[in-house]
Amino acid sequence: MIFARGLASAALLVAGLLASCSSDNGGPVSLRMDVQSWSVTPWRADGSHQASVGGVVLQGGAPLASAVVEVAGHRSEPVGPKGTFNVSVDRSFPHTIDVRVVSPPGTGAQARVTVCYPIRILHVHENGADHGQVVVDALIVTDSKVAFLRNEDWAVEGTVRGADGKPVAGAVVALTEYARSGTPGAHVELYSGSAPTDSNGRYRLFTVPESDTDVTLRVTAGNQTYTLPPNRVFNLPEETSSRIDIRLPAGGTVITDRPPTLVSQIVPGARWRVLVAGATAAGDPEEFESTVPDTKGRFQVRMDKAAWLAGPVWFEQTYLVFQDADLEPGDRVSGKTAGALAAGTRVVVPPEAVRGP
Amino acid sequence: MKYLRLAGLAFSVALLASCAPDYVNFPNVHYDLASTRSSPVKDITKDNIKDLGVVWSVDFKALDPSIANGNQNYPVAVDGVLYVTTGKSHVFAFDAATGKVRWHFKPDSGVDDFAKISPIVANRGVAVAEGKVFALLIDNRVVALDAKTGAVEKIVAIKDLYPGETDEITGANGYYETTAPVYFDGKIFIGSSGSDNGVRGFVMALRASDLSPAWDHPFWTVPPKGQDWLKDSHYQGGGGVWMPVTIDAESGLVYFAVGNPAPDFFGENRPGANPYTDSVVAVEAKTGKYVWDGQEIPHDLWDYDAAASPMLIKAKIGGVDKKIVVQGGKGGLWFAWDAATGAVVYDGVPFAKIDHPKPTPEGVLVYPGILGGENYAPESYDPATGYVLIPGIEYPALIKSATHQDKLDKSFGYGALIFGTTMAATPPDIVPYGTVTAIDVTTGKIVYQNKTDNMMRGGFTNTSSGLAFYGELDGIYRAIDIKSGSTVWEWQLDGDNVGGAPAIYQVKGKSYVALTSGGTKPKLFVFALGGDKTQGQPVQ
Repeated sequence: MIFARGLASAALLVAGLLASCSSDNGGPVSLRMDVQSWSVTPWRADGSHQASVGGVVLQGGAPLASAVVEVAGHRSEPVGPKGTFNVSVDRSFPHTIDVRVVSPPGTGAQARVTVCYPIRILHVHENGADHGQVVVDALIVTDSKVAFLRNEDWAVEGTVRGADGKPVAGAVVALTEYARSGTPGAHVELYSGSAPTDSNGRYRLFTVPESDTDVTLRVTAGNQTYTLPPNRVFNLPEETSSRIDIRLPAGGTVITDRPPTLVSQIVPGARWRVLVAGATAAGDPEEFESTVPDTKGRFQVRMDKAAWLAGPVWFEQTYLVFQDADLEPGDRVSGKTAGALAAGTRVVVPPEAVRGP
Repeated sequence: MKYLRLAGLAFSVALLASCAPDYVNFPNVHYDLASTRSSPVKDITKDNIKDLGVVWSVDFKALDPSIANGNQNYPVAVDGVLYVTTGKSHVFAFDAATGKVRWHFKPDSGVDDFAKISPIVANRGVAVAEGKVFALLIDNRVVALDAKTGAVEKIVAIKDLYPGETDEITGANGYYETTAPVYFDGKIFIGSSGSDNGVRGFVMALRASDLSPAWDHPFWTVPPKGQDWLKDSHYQGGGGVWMPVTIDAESGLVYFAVGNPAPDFFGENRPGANPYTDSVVAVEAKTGKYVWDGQEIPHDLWDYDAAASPMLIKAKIGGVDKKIVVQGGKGGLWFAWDAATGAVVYDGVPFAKIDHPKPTPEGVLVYPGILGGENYAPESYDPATGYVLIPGIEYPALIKSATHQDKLDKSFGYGALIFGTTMAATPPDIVPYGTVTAIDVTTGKIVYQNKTDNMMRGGFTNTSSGLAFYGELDGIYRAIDIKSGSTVWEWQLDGDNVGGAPAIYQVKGKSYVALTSGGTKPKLFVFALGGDKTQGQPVQ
């Protein structure tokens, strides 16, 4: 009984699939792109990192001039008389562009263009300590100046407290550039601001201005904005995070700029931007273990031997990592690295862009 | 015979009456897509301008006390409706003849929250097309409003436009929006502010119909972080396009001015010329494809954005009809390029004192200062004389370079080094002023340069009767005779400083001049011949 029901479902599914792959004219509708994958080609002032990829919509092998394609989920465009269309591609960063036929509807015809760094597998060996695991030395292939790991910026963090010493929640701390705010008719061009403080009065902000800039500090709590005394500024220390603990005044809007109402010190911590290349078992995208690439793009992946033999899925993903210690080439990174936030989307490297040892 | 001729005459009169337009519009933020700010209105002349007076005005804080200080709006007038924006991204539609409020768009709390981070809350204007009003909100969103009712049709966050590519266009990363969108051929074109914060500048085209992306990618003005001249730099990038684009409707090219590279005053980690910062760039309106760029200041160390919108001008140069793109930068130089090819026509005509040694840690006095030169204030072009008017600023800045290369000695351990506040390095006691410079586009030569009392922050609007209007930071509002440069009218606004330039338009044959003022009492003043001649008190 169960078997028969299963058969019936399968038959329905096949019928449905067939229906979705054909249109009124009979033949199945297909979508073909001239190029399926590009190597990342770094940004150039002459615009040569931009490329155009042609595509064609066919029905039963003949051009379908009435088709409409949707590019990357946002741009819909009727194809030309020969069923053709173009997609412009910015090849300067890893990403994918999905193209699908939206008219006639329900054809399911689609294609993907991938821009990624090719991966070259240099060496595969068994992990000496864990025989169930393989260690793969690999290379992100590029012929240009690319920094896979960069120190992005530092943080200014601390607490906001009221005159009574209790934490102030919901306060926003912002740094602005004094030079312009002190100029008649000028506008404060530089700023960085925190998210509202938490229940412990804690804040953190990034995008700290270049050093030797005269920086003023503002705290907005409730409807009130508090500032430093007139003509008083910070020159924030360089290449480090800082901690500035602020106690708001009982009256007025001026923060007294000396301890204990304003305490400033250097603290560890920096934010790093890193392009991670790695491999996962098929269907398990968050489980990976890789390393920060070195300046040449070399990195090392560890994974279960069984998953490796079954055929891994290679990917590229940019992460922003905030941590106390410096991030360095060779450092282990995984889907569970503390302080790591994925930036942009994960790109699956197509098999044709992965070369064996 | 006589009868017939009379009948013919009557017919002509009827034709004239029926053909007289109800409205002469000021349809774009800079009047036309070429951004010439040259209104066709010509019945206000140097002979009758003494009769100009206020016919209606608005105190924005009386309409809504939550409206922020300051105003840098460039009003737009379409078919009897005047569209004006204020700080914190409010949009108003007024009956252009009477001042009656048709609607008021007040943004949601996202804008208020953003204002806690950003002291800048300016908004410079709207685009009106397809029955909608388009504006940018300070917190990096785009809004489409129903032009009749002001109802929100759609709001999109710019960061959501290209998933995986534009995710970082947020306030936390230093982006903010003050510019006005420009409409052309079913699309609106936008840029952003934030160069000094090290953002990655861009121009995007959105479909006016649904605010979806019209190009396959944004046009990025600088490389991705980690590539090319940004390979090694911290806190890097720049190239914000923070004033409206200019468009050649015939060729379908879009022109825009690109801001400074970051870090502003320290260039060691950003080698080379840093394209396309401090440049004018041309791209295809249809695709965003790069066409040409002209750089004003290679490897900028002084915050010399190309800020103000470029102008597209048709003129006879060296006896040949040419189409050129012109722009004056914060660096105090005015350029002209061939509109189609980018070939240099005038290679940097100085219109300000220029003396900018490389910044040192001790500080150097640089001319122009960080305000320009020519800041965001737009130029205007008068086809009758062939004169471009440049709003200039003369105010040097004391600039110190950063000393990034010295690694902090952390050997003593974190938490041990307490640092504190210091006295600000205040600029020397120099009194800033402004200039009006007229350049003859047929020769590229300065015809005259006149001083103004204050730095020029608002820019110009011309009439076809040969007048140019501009406002000053002390609330003085003037009209000059474009040909001679002489002042023909002066008015003390009952407001504060002026940071914009007027829309000049007609409703039912009557001409109006609409200008905002800022400061602590942001207002809107609409002038017409025969209006009230009561002026304000001088601003301190």
